[in-house]
Formats: sequence, structure tokens, C-alpha cells
Amino acid sequence: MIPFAQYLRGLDGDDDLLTLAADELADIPPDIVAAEALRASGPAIRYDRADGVDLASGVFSGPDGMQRRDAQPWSRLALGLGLDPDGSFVSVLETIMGLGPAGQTDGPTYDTQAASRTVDSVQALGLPQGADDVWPALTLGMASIATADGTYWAPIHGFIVGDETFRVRTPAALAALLDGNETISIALGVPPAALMTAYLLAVTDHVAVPIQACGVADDVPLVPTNGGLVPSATEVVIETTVADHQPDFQSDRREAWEYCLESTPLALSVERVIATDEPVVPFSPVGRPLADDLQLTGVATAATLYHRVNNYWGISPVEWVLLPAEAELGICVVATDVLYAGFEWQLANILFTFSSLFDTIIIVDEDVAPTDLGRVLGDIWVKAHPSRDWIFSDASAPAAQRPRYRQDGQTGSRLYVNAAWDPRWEDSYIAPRVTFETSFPPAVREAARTAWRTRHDGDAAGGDHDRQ
Amino acid sequence: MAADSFRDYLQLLVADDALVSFDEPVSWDLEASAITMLANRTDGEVPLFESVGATDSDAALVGDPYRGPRSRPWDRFAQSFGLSAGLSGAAYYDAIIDRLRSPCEPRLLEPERAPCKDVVHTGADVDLLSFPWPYVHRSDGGRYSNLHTIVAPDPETEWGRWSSHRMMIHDDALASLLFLAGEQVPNRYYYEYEPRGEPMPVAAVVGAEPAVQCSTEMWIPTGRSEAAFAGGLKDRPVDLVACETNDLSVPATAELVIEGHVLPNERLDEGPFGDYFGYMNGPRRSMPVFAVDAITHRAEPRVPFCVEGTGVGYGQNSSSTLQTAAAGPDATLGLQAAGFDVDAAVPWRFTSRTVWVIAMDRSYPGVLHELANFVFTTWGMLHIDFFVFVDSTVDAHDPRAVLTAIALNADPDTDFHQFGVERMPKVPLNIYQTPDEKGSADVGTSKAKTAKAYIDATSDRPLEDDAETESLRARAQQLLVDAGVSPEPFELLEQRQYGGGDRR
Amino acid sequence: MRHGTHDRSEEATLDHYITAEEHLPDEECTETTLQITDAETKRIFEARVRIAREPDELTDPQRLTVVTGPHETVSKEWYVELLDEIDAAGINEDLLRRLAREQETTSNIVNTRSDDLKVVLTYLVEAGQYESTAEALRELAFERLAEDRPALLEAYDAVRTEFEADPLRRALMDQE
Repeated sequence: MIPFAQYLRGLDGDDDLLTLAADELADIPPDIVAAEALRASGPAIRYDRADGVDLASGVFSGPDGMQRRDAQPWSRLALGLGLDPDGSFVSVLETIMGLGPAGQTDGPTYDTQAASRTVDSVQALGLPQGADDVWPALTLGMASIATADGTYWAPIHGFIVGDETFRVRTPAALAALLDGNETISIALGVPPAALMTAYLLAVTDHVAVPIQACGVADDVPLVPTNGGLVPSATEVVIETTVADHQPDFQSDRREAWEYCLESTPLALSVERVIATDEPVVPFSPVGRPLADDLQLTGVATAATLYHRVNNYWGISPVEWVLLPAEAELGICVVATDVLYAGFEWQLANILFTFSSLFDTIIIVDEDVAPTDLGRVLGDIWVKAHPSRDWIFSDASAPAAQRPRYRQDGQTGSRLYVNAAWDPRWEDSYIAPRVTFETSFPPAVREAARTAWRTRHDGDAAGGDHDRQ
Repeated sequence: MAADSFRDYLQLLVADDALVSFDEPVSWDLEASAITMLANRTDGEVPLFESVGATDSDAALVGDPYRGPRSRPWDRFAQSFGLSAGLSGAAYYDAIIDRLRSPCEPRLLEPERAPCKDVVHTGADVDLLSFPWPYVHRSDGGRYSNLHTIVAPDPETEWGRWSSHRMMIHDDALASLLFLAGEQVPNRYYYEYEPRGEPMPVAAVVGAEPAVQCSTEMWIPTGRSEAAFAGGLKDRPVDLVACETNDLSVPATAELVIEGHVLPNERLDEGPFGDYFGYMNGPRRSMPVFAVDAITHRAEPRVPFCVEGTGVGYGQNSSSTLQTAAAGPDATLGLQAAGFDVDAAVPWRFTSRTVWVIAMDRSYPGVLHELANFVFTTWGMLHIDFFVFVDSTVDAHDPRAVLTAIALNADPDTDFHQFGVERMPKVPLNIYQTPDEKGSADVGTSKAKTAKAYIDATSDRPLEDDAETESLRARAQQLLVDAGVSPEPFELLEQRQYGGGDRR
Repeated sequence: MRHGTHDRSEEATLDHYITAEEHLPDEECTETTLQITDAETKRIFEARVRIAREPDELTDPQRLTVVTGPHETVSKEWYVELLDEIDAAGINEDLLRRLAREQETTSNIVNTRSDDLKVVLTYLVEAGQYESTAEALRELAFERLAEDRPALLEAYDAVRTEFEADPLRRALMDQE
């Protein structure tokens, strides 16, 4: 388990964190800065501030997968989950699944509250106000409530309105669990594993599973608050009570998890705010490209789809599943062994059944790496037959949640693109790719590498990103 | 300072620390290509191979010289034409379109003043194999020249027709050309010269100046010549010179000119070759024969080649860069000239020719259908199979923005058009048809037809241009650069000149 | 991994010649004309050859890689014996020489076996255009050959000149 502040130090040690001093930011809204850094595949950013908590952006996101790059969109998250950032994508998916509902857990462990300092008011936190915002915003929050049956976590986000009032959105399932005890704790700057768990529970509609029955309880030490157990290493805890279950404010802002399950607005009154001595909390430029909430939702969905589809038929043909944030979660990519003609149709349909986020799936061969989105975005046009491998269903499928069209719920078609080789083809029909490994024999490759390297000893610009 | 020759262009690369020389012997047999592929995929310097095996001509090989820098593939061409480096895609396109609106007729030089005639070989002296043509991929059918201009006669223009067709080297005076019917010059050969039994004079121009290389990739209206548009690109006339053994004119500063004629009723094997789809493609086909009458060249010619097949996915090579930097602005202008209110026509980054992004507003019902099929039936007939239409407020140069538009706006129910039909021609270099479907056609398209399709990724409620947000974004970009982040990926910063060695 | 695996052996750098399966003759060991590639220089040329699956069926066998398949990714190892190379114009000069030499000791009567042709040619003679049917046929045929096959006539002319200019060489050759 890696606490959030320690995680940031880890990013810094990896040269993946840029620290901006208070005066450097000037009057530019932090969400704009965060968004530009994300668009440019830049480092994560820490905003040192004179007043209020320090902020961090891009910590759950990563480079643009449509560009050649050194790291992956999930590399930082992997580090935060205690994995090797250069490790396999599937190990990230499996680790995420392990945080969720588990057959049996060893039971939670407890530790002292890191946030030991009382803060005068929630305004004193100095949460950031985005370019289009009227009030300071809270994003990447984790809500915690307690009932007799246990503690429940879910994502939460919203605005600070006035001195001590929050207007938030959280899963309806969480609000429905409030049973008399109307206290909600909002935890900011939780260990990455905990925030990941909240997203996983939301995406799989398992908010109603107590965290004591989830793998996260084996990993993250906890501490009680008035709103249930939260990670002991949390940077800022805001204890609130529900002021209104059906407030009438409207807001267009949605964190990406809200496309996966029903969310509800709540008005909350702040009761108490506690923080660590030098708190730092993450925020996401919600609604802007490659935002953290988008990445977290995408990887949580990919993890659950990967798990479900490989435990469905008694075999595990699927290599990986990816919902690229670059496509705003409207497209799902899956790499699979195409077992027999027609298997691709089965696979597409089962994925559509398991998730309502997208209505477009791309199927690629098992040898395509999840880091090779560029290859996928070429192969759909040159490898999939435009007459036969772009398959549109009848116009009677339910509308997908993420796209902007047919938000009135009208049925329509779904699409899957089969960019895998036809299993009925003889091997000799399959055109070899032009790559360094296939176009040249080993002796030539070695000579070329030697010749090239002698002119680029260890220079980052000479880095060969495609080496397997 | 514009480049008037390929050598000028190489100097430009040197000044930018963008060229690396290999003095030790490197073989033309796969090795030069392999090193170039490494250069391509690391966004490294362009390799120049000084010592490529015993040749009488002291020739050097240059690997993918026109591959542009990853973040702005058009940068080198911009500099070649006297524009600044660091332009955004939109700004570069605007500048090039401006140049193309003012073509400039070429000048004819006296042969004595033409550098491409430093050395002249005719008759029995002609030996193609004395040049270090590369063997580019294992299992290619032969050595190739694939970064050149084929000059062919065109009765409707003064300066002939320039186009590109890969050429497989056979022997000292023989080569085969990939002539696919449907393209202008092959059409002239197959349907005019060959039926008359008449050899068609051609010249293969290797190592021409950047303006010539760019205009070769452009679609030019009938009756106009590429030479004039090449002059427009660099804002001054291109120098041409008459061939030694036929009536064609060729760029005078070219490194190497191969004069000859395409024989009627003769065929030689051509291919297999790893072509622009990114896959090896075979089998060999019977293709027209290029019989060489003369070879002229500069002293110590620098012979450029392209590692074809590496311009897909994340990759970038000369031909994919030429599509982005030359074909793109040309297509934008061409579509506008044809009456379509197009903001930008930009090749999709992850394929080399197959897919194009068009940013435009839907000015009347059916306009997308009309534009798509206009291109599919004219200059795009052979190599373009898909269009993606986005709003004019979407940056067509930003592939993430385009992918987002597809994912969020293109309804599988109503916005995917012409998929599934099987009535359009298909270039036989494709990899998704079976051998039976491709048929044994020696010329032209596959036997079996496929689809040419388009996706409407425009929005019912396009976002409005927001000057205020853009100004904030530019300030944020500057803030990040000031704090030490590399300026490469930022497109809203004020343009700046690249100096030598100014690389982070 | 099945996709795009390259079947060609890594030791293929020692290949001598390469050709495509579609070029192979129907029968092994028969003399045929083949377009082949020198595996080292990648020079592609036409030659008179004999092909066999086993080397001992040929006199001077060289390795021949025969490629096949839609992308020529499948290959097999045969053997080839190069007899003559055919020059660029497709003329087998050695054959011409041999025929020219043989012709010195054989009859030059050519029988067209065509009643129709005999009638037409005789008509032309009777009409006064030619002295004889042989002359008519000679002139008409050479006219046509000069138009359609100039390279062959040129090559033969060169062979003839060679013969006439070098009686010593001929004498030596006749001794072999």
C-alpha cells in the first residue's frame, strides 16, 4: 500500500513530476494547466501553494496513447499500486480486480490517522476553481459511509458553495445505503489503491459491497471516521452530513464513472475538516482530454471486462481489453485468439452485454501489444475488409452511455471491426508485417543496432521505443 | 533560404544537426535499410551512407531523407521553401496553399549548366547496377528505387507529367515499373502507347529538389504541370534541362537521371515489396519494362530511398511525410477549387494513403456523400478508401481529437456510409483480399471489388471556437515551457525559428 | 506465432539463385528459359537452365530457392544448372552461333507445307513482281522480320560477321 504523498515522491524520483511554485501559476486556472500538460504527454504536476492544500494533476493519467512515447497511460497508476511501471498491462488489470469483491479477505488492518490537524473551514483548503467554474471544485474524491453491515466506498465530486456547503454527485446506490446515519466522509488524497477501488466498485455496480469484503481491505490500513472507515494515510478528511437528498441544482459536470451507473446529486453540510501537516490532494481537469477520471474509469472497465470475458467460456482466449481515454471510452479494443470463424461475433456481443459504455469494438490479433494503439488505428483500415469486417448490428440495440448521439435512449446499431486475421485463411495468405524484426535477419539487425548505438550512447533521443 | 537542390536540403539537415554520416562500409543489401528503420522509429537523424559497396560512381545512399520530425512532420519542407520551422499544421497548410495558388513556370537550362549532367553515360556505357540501389526488406523481389519522380510525356502540358511509381532494378539497362492502371501515366502507357506498339519515353529522376519531390505527390489539374506548382512551392522557378536521348525535360539539379523508354508488349517481374500498407505484399506481378538508354548524374551522387512500409502505425517515413506535407495541402486546395467548402484535408496519421480526415461544415444535405465519392472516382480512386469527416472546429491535424469525434459523434446506426458494399475498385497491394479475389490481373485493380466508405463524425451541435479559452491555453503552454517542459508538442506558442542544436 | 512468420531459413544468405514457382517448367531436367535472381547481387536476368529437385540430376548444380505463395513467403530448395544467359533483347546468342555453324553443312530448303501460300507466291511470280517463289518468300519474310524482330536480325548479323572475320578461330572451333 502506497500513501498518496509517498506516491508523489515516487513520481518525483522517476523525473515524472514537475513542481510549480505558487507564483508561477499566476492567474491561470489550474485545470487549464493540467489539461495542457496532459495533451502534451507532459509530467504529472505538483502545485505548491502558499494558502491551502498543495494540488497534484495528471497523477492518474499519462501520455497520449496515440503518440510514440516512453511510458504508458497506466504507468503512473501502476507505480501507485505498487507495481513496476514498465510491467505488463495485464498485471495492472489483474491487480485492479484484486482490489474488488473477494471470496475471502483477511479482514481490515488499522493504523493511526495521518490527518491529525483540524482545519478551520473547508474554504481554507483552497480547492481549485476551474476556468468554467463558479465555485471551488472537488474532484477525484472518495466517499465513505457506514452502516451496520460495514463501510462502503464510491467516487464523489462536486463544488464548495458558500462557507460550509458541498453540492456533490455520487452513485445513487451509495445514497440509497444511507440508513438513518446521514454522515458521509469525503477522503481526498487517498492511497491510489483506495481510489482505484472506489472506481472499480462504481464501474461494476458493486457499490453495495462493503469494503471489508473487498481485496483492498487486505492492502490498505484503515481508520474509523464518522462516515465509515477511510484509509489511515488519507491527506484530507471532510466529515459531512446530508442536508438535502434531492437538491435542485443543475450541473453539467460529470466525472467519467457517471456513465457507468446512475448518479445522484446531494447537498452536504461540512461538520469537520482534518488534514495532514502538509496535505497534497489530486484533482482532475474533468471534461478535458485524457483527464484522470477518464483514465481511471477506462482502466477499471477494462479490468472487469478482461476478467469477465476470460471466465465466461471456460477458456481464456482474450489477451487484453483496453478502453483508450483517447477515444473518451467510446471504443473498446480487445486482443484475442480468434478460436474459430464467428468467434469474433460472439466476443463482440458478450462485451456489449457486459458494458453499456460503448457501442464500438475493435478486435485485433493476440500478438498485438496493448501499447501499440498506433498499430490498431492503422490496421482497422488496411487489415479489416471494408465490406466484410466492419459489422453493423440491427438497429435494435440499446444506446451506449458514452457517445453524444441518441441520448434520448433510442435504439440503434452497434459496430465491431474485425481487424484480426481470418482463422480460415492458410498461413501463406497472411502478409508479413514490415518491422525491424521481420524485415531483417538477426545478423543484419545486430549490425544495424551496433552502428546506430555507437552514435547514440545512452542518449534519450536515441531511445528505441519499439524494442520488445 | 529555400532549397534549390537535394544537396541544399541535405545541408539544411546538417545545419539542424539532423543528419548523421556513416563513413564505415554499410551494405546496400538490407543493412542501410535496417539502420534507416532504426532512425525512423527513434525520430533520429537522417542517415547518410558514404560507403555503400564498390560502385564506379562513388555514390552515397541517404535513408528516408524526407522523414519529418515526429511532432511536426512538415518542418523540413517548410524550411526548404523558406518558411519558418515550428509552424502548426494549420499554419503550414495555409502557407503552402498560398504558394500553390501562384504557380511559377520553370526555366530551361543549357545542358552545360545542369549539375545533373556532370557525368553522362549512354549506350553500352549504361550500367544501372553501378549505383547502390538498396535491397530494402528481406523477401522483396529485387533492389528498388522508390523515392524518385517519373517524368512522362503529356501532350496537354509543356513539361510532361510527374508522378511516382516504384521501380525494381533488374540488370544493367533493365528495370520494371509498378504501373497500375487508373493512374494517369500508366493509363497513357496501357491505353495509348502500348496499343500503338510505341515505346513511351520516360525519365526516372532520383534526388530531385524538395519542391519537385513534393509536387510529384500532388494531384494537379489536367492541362497544368507539376513543374509550375513546384516553382510555386518555393516561390521561384524550378530549373529544368532537356534529356540526352529523348524529348523530355528533367529537373536540372537532380542527383541522378535515368532516361529510357517503357517498351510496348514486354513484361518483367515486379515485386514482391513491402509497400505503404505496412505489410509485405506479393506475389510478383508482370509489369512494364523500363529499358534504359542513358544515365546522367552529379559527381558523387546522393541517392535517396524510402524504407516503405514504415509509415503506418506510430511510424513515419518519407512517403508518409510527403502525404502529410505535400498531398494534404494540395488536396485541401483542390477540394476547395472543386467547390467544396473544406477547412482542411489531412491524411490520417496511422496509415500512409488509405484514410483522410476532412474538416468541414455540412453546408448542404448530401455534401459529405458528394465529396467522398468525387474523390473516390477521381484522384483518390486507387489509394484512398476512407474519409472521416469532422467539424471545422475540430483540429484535423490532431488525431486524438479526430478519434474522439468518431467515438462520440459517429453513430453506427446512421453515420457510417458505404461499408459493406462490394462495387468499388481496390488496389491489388491490399492485404485483406485472398489471391483469388485479387485475380491474376497484370494491370490495374483487383478482380474482386470492395468498398470505399466514409464516416460522418461531425456533431449535431458543433463546439464553437472560443478565443478566450485558446488564449488561456496558450498562456498555460508558455507557463509549462518556462517551467522546463519541452516546447515540441505545443502548437499555440508563438512561432520561433529553429537554430542549429536547439533541441531539448 | 502463426502470423507473418517468415519461412525462409536464416541461412538463406548462402543462396545462389532465386526464382518463382510459377516460372518453373512442368518437367524437371528439361532445358527451359527462366527468369532468375542472383541471390547475392540481386541481379535479375533470363537464362537457359535445367532444374531438378536433387543436385545429382544435374551436371553443375547450384542452389535454387523457389518461392511461392500469395506473398512469396513459402519456399523450397531446388537445384539449377545454368546453361546460357539470354541477353537483354531475349536472344540466345550461343544458340544462334550453333545454328549458324550447323547451317553450313545442311540444306537451306524451308518447306512451308502450305498450298495456299504456294498459290499466292506463284501468283506474284507470274505477275512479274518476283523472279521466283523463293525470292518472294525471302524478301517478304525478311521485311517482316526486320520490322518485328530487329534484335534477332542484328544478333544474327553480328554472329555472321564474327564467323566471316575469324577463319582461324573457326578452324580451331571445328577441331573441338
